[in-house]
Amino acid sequence: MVGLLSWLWLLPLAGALAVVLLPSRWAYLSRWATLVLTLVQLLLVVGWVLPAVGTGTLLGPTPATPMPVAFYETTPWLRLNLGSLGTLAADYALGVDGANGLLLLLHALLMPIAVGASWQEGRRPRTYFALLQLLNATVVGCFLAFDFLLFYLFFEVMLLPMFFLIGGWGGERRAYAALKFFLYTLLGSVAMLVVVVGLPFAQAGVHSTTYQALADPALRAPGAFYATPYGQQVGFVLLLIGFAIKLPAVPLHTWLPDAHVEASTPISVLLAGVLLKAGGYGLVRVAYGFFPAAGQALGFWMALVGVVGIVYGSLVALAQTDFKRLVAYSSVGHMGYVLLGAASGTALGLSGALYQLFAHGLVTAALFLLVGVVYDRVHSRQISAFGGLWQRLPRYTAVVALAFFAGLALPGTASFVAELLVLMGAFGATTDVPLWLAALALAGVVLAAVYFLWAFQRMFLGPWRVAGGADWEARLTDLSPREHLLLWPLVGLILLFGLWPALGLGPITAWVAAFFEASQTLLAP
Amino acid sequence: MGDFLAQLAPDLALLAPELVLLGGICLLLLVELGLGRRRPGLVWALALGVVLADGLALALQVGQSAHVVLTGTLRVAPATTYLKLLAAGAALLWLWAAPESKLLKTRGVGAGEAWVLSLGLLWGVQLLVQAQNLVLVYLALELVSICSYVLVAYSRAPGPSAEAATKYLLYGGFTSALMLYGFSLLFGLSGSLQLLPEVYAAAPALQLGVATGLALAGAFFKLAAAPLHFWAPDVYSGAPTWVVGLLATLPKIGAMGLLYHLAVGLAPGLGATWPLLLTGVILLSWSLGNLLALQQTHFLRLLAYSSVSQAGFLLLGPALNTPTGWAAAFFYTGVYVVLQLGAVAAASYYERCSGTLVFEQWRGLGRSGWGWALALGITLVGLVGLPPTAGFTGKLTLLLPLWSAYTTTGAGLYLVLLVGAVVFTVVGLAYYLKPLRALAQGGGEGRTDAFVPKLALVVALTAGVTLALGLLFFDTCVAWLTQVMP
Repeated sequence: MVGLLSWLWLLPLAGALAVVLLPSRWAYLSRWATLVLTLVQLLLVVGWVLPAVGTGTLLGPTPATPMPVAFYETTPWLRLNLGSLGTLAADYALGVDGANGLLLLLHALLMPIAVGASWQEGRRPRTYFALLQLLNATVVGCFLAFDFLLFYLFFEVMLLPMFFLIGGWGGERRAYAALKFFLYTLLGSVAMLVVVVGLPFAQAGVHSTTYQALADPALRAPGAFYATPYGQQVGFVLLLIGFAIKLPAVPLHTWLPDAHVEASTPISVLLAGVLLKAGGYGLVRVAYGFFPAAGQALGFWMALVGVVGIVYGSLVALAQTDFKRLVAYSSVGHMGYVLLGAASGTALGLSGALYQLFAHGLVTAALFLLVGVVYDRVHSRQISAFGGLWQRLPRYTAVVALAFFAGLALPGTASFVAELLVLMGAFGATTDVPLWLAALALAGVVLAAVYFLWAFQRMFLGPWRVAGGADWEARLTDLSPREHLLLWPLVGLILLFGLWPALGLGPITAWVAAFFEASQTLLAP
Repeated sequence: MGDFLAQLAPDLALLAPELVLLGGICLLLLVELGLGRRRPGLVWALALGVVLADGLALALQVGQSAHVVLTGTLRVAPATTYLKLLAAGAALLWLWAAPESKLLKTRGVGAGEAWVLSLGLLWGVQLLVQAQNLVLVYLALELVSICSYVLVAYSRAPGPSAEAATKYLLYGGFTSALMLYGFSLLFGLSGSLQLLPEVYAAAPALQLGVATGLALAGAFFKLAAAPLHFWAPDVYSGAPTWVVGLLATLPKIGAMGLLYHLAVGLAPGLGATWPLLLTGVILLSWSLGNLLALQQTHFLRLLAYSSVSQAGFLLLGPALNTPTGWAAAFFYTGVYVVLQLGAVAAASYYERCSGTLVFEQWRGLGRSGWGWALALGITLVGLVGLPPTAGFTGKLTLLLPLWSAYTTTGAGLYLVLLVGAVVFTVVGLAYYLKPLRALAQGGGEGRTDAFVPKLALVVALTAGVTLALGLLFFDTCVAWLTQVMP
């Protein structure tokens, strides 16, 4: 039976259908309908799901899992009888726990913000908002899924609305960027597909695809490919390819700058704020969840990829002349911390990685919105085209300053907590992450400060100077009420979760502790 | 004599669908002769009725156990009944939409020929999927081919259609010769025309391998598997669009049936050579089909090259040659037929609106009639093999036994096929999305003002089935197929 949790993704799906079916003279209603539905979704998450995650109360049937789950619902979905090969059993299993609770909040928060940022979208609004809702439904499904096949389904369907949103409502080279995004991420998905078709068959008897069954080493038949250390490392690397492309990790990141530059502001917000996080979430939940021992064994390589991402992303961000590309590359850099934290093999590092997903989602959403503010007004994002903006746009400058400080992980912001935890984890790594890698990651923090502060200096400080002359001067007005409404909740949450980290870290650390306990059987030498 | 007839009676009961079809064809010929000029609609309705009756006769056979009929030449089994039902369903759906073809409308006189030829094609396919005797295989295959040749040239005008028909005829004749050579070698090796494993038990492996390779040519040709795919792009783009709908589906079903009987008879004697043979063809089809499809701008040429690549996927099950592999292959055949019908139907709709099949000129057509674009989108996403469509579940069902075969036998061959399958799925994305992008773009003058109810039904039905089998129900279908595979 469809339980209450299902409504979190069925509601947007219904919204997509409703918007498409609106008659053309009521097309303007599509944005209102979408806004209302996303706000209802946010309300459901904040008022009903999150309190349960915070207290760890279990609502719904008890899942057969050792992990603390706040919500869980399951119903048999597919029973694929393959004769002598046995039966592949996929369940429609959804759940919320410490690992995905905050991400659900992040997504539910960014959806109405993206709708607000799309308020002026005049090009085919019905299709646009329908696709936005479809994206919404698939992202929620992806975060909620507690079954690998179900997760895979949502993870891949997510690409379709995103492809059309970039390709249909983007900039000049949108077709190229959209296809590049789709091809790259699909390549990652099919690497994952190899594990989808293989891993369930490592179990003797019924081949279940639920997280719980796939993660349980006791269920794997001795001698099965994925029961061997080598097989586990292969599986881990295949999953890693899928999630590293999505994250993105250097050197699989090249689709990201193109996609961001061509995508419109709200789409960038969702892409960087939520979709990349699905990659990081999958890395923790699926790759580490199924093959913790392999993750442990490959700790050095994971950390290396992460640190290369941090340093390379930051260096390239330093060299950007386009404000949006700078933010895009800063995303690449910051996602490196997720890999590093997970690679450390410590509870601190893993908690930091999960917290970084949440914190960076807030920060990067704010940053992309802020890029959109100047781009909407003068259709230029060149850093060199602006100077001394603080003189005429003080409120804008204030929000940018806060977001930049959050970007460079200043104490008091959520990203500081996340990156601190990751670095603490890296320095105390239980895996073979060497100290010099952790130290390099620390240098990445300094680099982030350099590019953010340098960009701030060039664009906002000094004498007033804009490239477009009087025309631009007239158009460069300070934040509108709508923009205030979109930005301040993000800034507020960045500060709230920075000053009161226990609020978000509580469920995460509880989950991480349980995760390490559950995977101890595998981690034991 | 009396004894023989008494033996024949139960066999004929099992062949009821084919007899119905045969009788229908004869009736249709007569009616066309008398009424074709005055009442073309009646002839069309009669043709539909014949296919429907055939389908009903087939439906009555579902659930029956396997029988060998007509002195061992035909095998009526649940799996062949499934393939025949699939063929009848595709023919029914397509004949239903065919009168929308501009060509058939203007042709007026003699349109009845088209129905007779289509039914002949269906009859050939139905025989082919159950034939386990080399002579009967050849006869059925030639029946399919000859009906196809004539249908391709149906417009009778000089030009692409005639060129395509000539190419098809020449390549087809060449392939038939190859296949017949293989058959004669097989006969020489065994002294029997039956495709049964015990017949070839004593045959030397090398000779059997050569003969099998040649005998497979007929099936590869119908599937448009490389290197016997050269006819496909020209025939797809040259033939009248409604004919493509038939050629893209019915002969493929027949070829899968033929492959099954060849596998039953010949694979046991070949051992590891059988998967090796097919793997070569699969890899060649994937690489050639995908590479060439990337450059196409004509929708049906794109579909033709993509069908070369799809032939690779259709051959995965035969390469495995396990009950699960065959069940997956037959399921994917069904999915493939549905997707092809949907794609050709949507294409013929857009051809009507814009007057061309070059999809770059369909710009903006997706904006005025989004229902058609959505249906084509679902179909193309299905052809890529992405969820939530039947294309994904079909590929998933193919990959599952592939992985098991790799882990149980340890043969690297299956791993190569598995990796190839997922990699070429990604390549497919690059071209299958192109028509959709053109439809979604602005800037075109075309308008989709026309609503074509007959085509709309086909498009809606195929898109609906594609989605339904993509999320639910497919496990039931696969389970049934797995259960009935011997």
